[in-house]
Amino acid sequence: MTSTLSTVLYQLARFTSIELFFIAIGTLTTIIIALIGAILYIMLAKRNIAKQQAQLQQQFKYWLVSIILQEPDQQLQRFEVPDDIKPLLYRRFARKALLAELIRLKNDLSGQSGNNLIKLYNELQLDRLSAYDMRNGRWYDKAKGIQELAVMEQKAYIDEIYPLANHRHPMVRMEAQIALVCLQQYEGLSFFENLKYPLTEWHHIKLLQLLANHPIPSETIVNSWLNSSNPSVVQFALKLIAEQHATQFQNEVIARLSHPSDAVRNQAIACLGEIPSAPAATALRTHYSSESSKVLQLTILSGLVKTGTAGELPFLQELQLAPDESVRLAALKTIQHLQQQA
Amino acid sequence: MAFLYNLFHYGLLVYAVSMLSCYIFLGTLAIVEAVKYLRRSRLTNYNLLASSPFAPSVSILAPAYNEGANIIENVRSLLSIYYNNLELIVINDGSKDDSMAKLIHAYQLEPVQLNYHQQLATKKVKSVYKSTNPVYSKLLVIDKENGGKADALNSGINLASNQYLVCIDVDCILEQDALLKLLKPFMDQTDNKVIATGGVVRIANSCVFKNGKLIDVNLPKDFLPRVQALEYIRAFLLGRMAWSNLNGLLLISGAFGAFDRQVAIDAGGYDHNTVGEDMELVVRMRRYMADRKIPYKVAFIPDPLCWTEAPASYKILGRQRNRWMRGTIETLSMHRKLFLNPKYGVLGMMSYPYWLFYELLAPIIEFTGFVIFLILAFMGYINWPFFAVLTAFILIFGWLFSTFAILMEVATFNQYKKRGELRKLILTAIVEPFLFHPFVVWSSIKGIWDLLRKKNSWGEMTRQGFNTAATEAPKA
Repeated sequence: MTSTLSTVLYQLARFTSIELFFIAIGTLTTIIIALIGAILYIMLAKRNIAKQQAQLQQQFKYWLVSIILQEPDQQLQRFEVPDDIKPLLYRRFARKALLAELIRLKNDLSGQSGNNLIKLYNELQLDRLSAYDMRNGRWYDKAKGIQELAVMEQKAYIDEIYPLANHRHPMVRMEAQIALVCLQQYEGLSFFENLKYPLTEWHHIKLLQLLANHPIPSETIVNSWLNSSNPSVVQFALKLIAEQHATQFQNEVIARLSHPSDAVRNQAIACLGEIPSAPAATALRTHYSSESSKVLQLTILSGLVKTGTAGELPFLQELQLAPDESVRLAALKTIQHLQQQA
Repeated sequence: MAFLYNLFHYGLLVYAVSMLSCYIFLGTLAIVEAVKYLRRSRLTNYNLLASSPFAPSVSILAPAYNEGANIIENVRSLLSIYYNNLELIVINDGSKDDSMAKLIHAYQLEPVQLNYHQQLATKKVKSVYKSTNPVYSKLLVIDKENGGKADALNSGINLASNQYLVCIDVDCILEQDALLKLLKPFMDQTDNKVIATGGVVRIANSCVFKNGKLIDVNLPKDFLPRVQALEYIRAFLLGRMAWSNLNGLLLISGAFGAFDRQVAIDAGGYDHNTVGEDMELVVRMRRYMADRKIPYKVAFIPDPLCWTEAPASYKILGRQRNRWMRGTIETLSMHRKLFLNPKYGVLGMMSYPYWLFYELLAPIIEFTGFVIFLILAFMGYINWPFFAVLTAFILIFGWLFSTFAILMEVATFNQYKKRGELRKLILTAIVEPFLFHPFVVWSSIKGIWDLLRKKNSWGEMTRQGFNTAATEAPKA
């Protein structure tokens, strides 16, 4: 053991000559100088870009304001590009800055002002910039391009966006899915049929926001989602039903209480709270004893706050004898709430 | 004798080289992770989460002990957080000052009978208060006997009813979208359950605040806070970013972190027996998941989310570093089963050994090395030219790492962009090894000594208070 260590130490000694350290010090010092150079370069570059952007924003400002305020009767003609802006549009940096400004404004504006921005985007053929990004191999360019096309309501690109809804990169497929719904509302959700990946909670929130002002068009389509083999699609359908208080799906939601996925059952319990009815409360009460997850049992008890009536009180009072304190407590909270309501 | 001398000599060399290699490796990983995050973040509209009815429900836990001077403003700042599905639980941990009276008066609090479920053992809760003013309907205040920060947080967890817990130091100032960014990773989970997320904590000294909001970022004017600003950049932008890439984070700052409530409870909540309760909880939650073979992730957000006041005197700084060292030793000792245990994957094979060798042992080795150096120097055994070159090498490597951290800061979040701030930061990096680092090593050694003497005090942290722009006077 000692001889092995001695050999190792001897070998190490060969590599620790003072000259070696001189070389290392020289190398590290050079790297530090290079890093300081890089810091200064990045700082100056950032400052320059910010300055140029601010300058361009200032130049575009009055022009864009006048476009936003244009009346519908002036829509037939093209927007006039001021002479000081015309040469800028040949510069890629300025076109990108204008595109970013249009996207920012469009995100905040709707109605006629929004339409004017889309018209300008089309007239300046800025969709080519967005499409170029979408066709780029880098995921972040792809996602950005799709996002811009969706914000600017470019329906002509739907066929190109559709296959990207199953892209291997989560950001690309999320932007593609959002774009499809943004452009086609419920019709855009046809990608659910071939969905290879789960939707995240974030996807759900974004998609639901886009559909918030659009009532469910047909029961068949929602039923097909409720029967999807992808649990995240079923969860989405349940959230949609809850958000739109679509009571016509009550039986289908109750059926989802026996779904094998915990997340789906959890969502079904929450959904029944948003479409309260006597059968919903009875279903929750009946399901309670067969529920294998304690967390979901507690969710049922708190869910009864929304769906329950005085009819649930005997069941809840019985639970006051349960050995588990959290169950007793959850039941007590619901009892207090139902009694207050009564 | 020669063999022992060589063993010591080259043993230290191997240790130093392996440590430096780790730093280079972590620096590289940090770049990859930061770039990935920034690209994702640019495409994300976080505001969506604030108003959605499907956003996760959150309980913010803010323990307070003798915070009477600023408690009203601090709570007001927390109440102004832009998020719908939220409850704020302030825990008065047996303050000896007028914190509770001020809270009752300013927020029109009244005791309420709540169904308090004692899932985690805590000191006695005297009362739970709720505001009679609907404006403050999100606020709950627990008044309890003093039991320390971990105890206070546990009583908050017992009362919390929401899905996620956000634990925060009551005197921290949050960025407007801090909560949204902190919660986003929970929304992105698919196969791996996200059990906790942490954000970057930045130094608030010399920054300007108005109505509980940060309005002007400045590099701290005093040396100690400034050097800590640099240290935090290094720790958060390089260290934690890299560990996040590996899913090997062991620590989420106690100043601002989010946890899955059920996992935190199932894992047993905060441990009262350590002063490093924040690190200990993360390690225990990770262990809990790994033992049950549930795939999980601890996420990290590199955005500056939370601003806190750093100690501005050596006395307070010494107490803080003393406590941090004791916390680290206690946590690593409690979870020694993880050490090189392949069952725990990255946690056992990488994170734990790294913390043991390069966080816990580093000050001990450094201090021992220094003592031995003094003895050898006294006995005339030092090869001075070699010593000079070796010292220069170590110093230059340290500067390289700090310069790299500054580069990362400039290339990413670039908080210190005023004239001269960058120059000051680089100068601070140059003097840090002489004026700051030895003190930190000394404080850590004192921490180890205190632990051996079973001295378990938290160490009082006196704060100077934030710079505030002209604003209305406090209400209470």
